[in-house]
Amino acid sequence: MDALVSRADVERPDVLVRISDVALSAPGQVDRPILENVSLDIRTGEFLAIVGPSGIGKSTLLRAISGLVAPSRGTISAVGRPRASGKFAALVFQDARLLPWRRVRGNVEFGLEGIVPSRSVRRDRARNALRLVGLEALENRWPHQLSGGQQQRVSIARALALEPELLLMDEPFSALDIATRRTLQDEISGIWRTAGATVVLVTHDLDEAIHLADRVVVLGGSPATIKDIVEVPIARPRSRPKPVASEPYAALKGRLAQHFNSAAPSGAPQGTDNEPAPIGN
Amino acid sequence: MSVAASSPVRLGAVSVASAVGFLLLLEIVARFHLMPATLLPAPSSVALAFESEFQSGRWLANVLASLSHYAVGVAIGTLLGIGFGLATAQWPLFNALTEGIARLLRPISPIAWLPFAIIWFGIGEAAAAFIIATGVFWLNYIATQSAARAVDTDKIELAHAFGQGAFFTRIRKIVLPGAAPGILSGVRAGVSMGWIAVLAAEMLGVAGVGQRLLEASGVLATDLVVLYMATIAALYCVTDTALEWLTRRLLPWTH
Ligand SMILES: Nc1ncnc2c1ncn2[C@@H]1O[C@H](COP(=O)(O)OP(=O)(O)OP(=O)(O)O)[C@@H](O)[C@H]1O
Ligand SMILES: [Mg+2]
Repeated sequence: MDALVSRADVERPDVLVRISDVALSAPGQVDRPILENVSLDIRTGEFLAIVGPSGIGKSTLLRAISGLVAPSRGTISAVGRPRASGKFAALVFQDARLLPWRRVRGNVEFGLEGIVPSRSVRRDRARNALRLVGLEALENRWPHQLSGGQQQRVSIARALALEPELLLMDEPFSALDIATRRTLQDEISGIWRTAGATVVLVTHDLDEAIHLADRVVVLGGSPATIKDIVEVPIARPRSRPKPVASEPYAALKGRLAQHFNSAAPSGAPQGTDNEPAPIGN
Repeated sequence: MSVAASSPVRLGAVSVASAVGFLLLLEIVARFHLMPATLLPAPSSVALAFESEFQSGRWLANVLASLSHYAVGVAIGTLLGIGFGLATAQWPLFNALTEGIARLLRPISPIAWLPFAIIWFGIGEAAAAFIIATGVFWLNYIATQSAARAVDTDKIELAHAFGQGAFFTRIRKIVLPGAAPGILSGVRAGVSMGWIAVLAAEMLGVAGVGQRLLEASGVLATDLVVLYMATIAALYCVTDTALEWLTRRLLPWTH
């Protein structure tokens, strides 16, 4: 994002968020944790993907990282600090969660209202963010006048407008068609590269995880814990769909997919682009 | 029913036609002495009554008198009802403190408060406004309470995630707009309840359309009774239409 400071400008620690020995449970169910023994360093500037079967606790982990819920054990500590212009962390929820009584631009401005006093600055930042997701023409619509995918893009813009140090995204592309999904994946990738934000992306799509991430964290088991952390050594910029054929790609996908084959409590993950997923191949 | 048959214009025409037909029927019944005039006054005699009431200045004076305590009573009842409804929805302790009392007081008709209104406020505008406010209050209280409780917790979570989670910020940016459709339907119900309560309030002897109506009914002047019934209906129509318009202005996202 052009308004962001470039990554060289600021002295930043190597680790942005340190998750140590965390257990998370649903409200009022401390004795039956959803996640246990989760330890993970989110490195400053990395693109981290979290994958795992449905219901395993990916959204729960993301909520905890964003500070919305406190762990029942262990600590999650932000080592980094927010940028002057924005917030430390911004969350893209799994559902778009727009406020129906605000127009598109008002929704994008929502998080800015606490940190940017000037109305016109808020407006400009919201417009910039909307431009990034390709919706600047729809800024005066009501949310109910948008498609599901457009609503999801507004919710991405709402997070981007905060110019966060840490961008947390919970399956933000799952409601989108292939073309829009790819555009937005590239857009997020570009924002991540140029702005130097740290991105944590929850996805159930292994191809998406490999295409975008530096590291892929696999959650599994019950209660869930980290089963594997896979580095993605494929050089950037990454092309598509070529890598499917490439040797390192196939090996990576095979390694990730094996976790789904053994556990798979509630449905195997889908391949990208709605092909029948050749899992384990 | 076909789409064409239920189009708004057609339905409007049907309801106007049925009202006119009803009045015509009443007129015929009276003209041909099918029923004694004291039982059902002819619409034309109501029109004559209106002419004389209007020319004597009584009609307008009564309307203005009623409007003054109606407006005060509805405003107070509405604001307090919304305030208490919101507070009980937001603070469980406050709700626990007031819930039992609310259950005791809620079913009591505004008329039952007449003696207390007189004792507390004397016979006058304040007592009348109080009676009206008691009727209006409960409708707003219930509507606001349930609408505020029904606001999506996901949206509250959103407010926390985006730095808008402080109590009053949350109320202003999430709870109030989220509950607004429900709150406004309570306000609308209160506005019509207010006119029902006007009659009760003016039993005190405070001047207004209700008192004039009660006077007329005491001497079986049915033409005057019907005239003031129609007056209340017309006033209700005006306030209800105004509120419908306001609702539309305040909730542009709902259509
Ligand atoms: N408020 C809650 N009360 C009780 N259980 C909950 C609550 N929220 C989530 N859970 C449970 O916690 C587990 C993890 O949920 P979570 O939403 O984190 O899964 P997920 O990995 O994001 O799944 P998906 O891929 O389907 O979004 C689930 O089994 C769910 O049933
Ligand atoms: Mg989830």
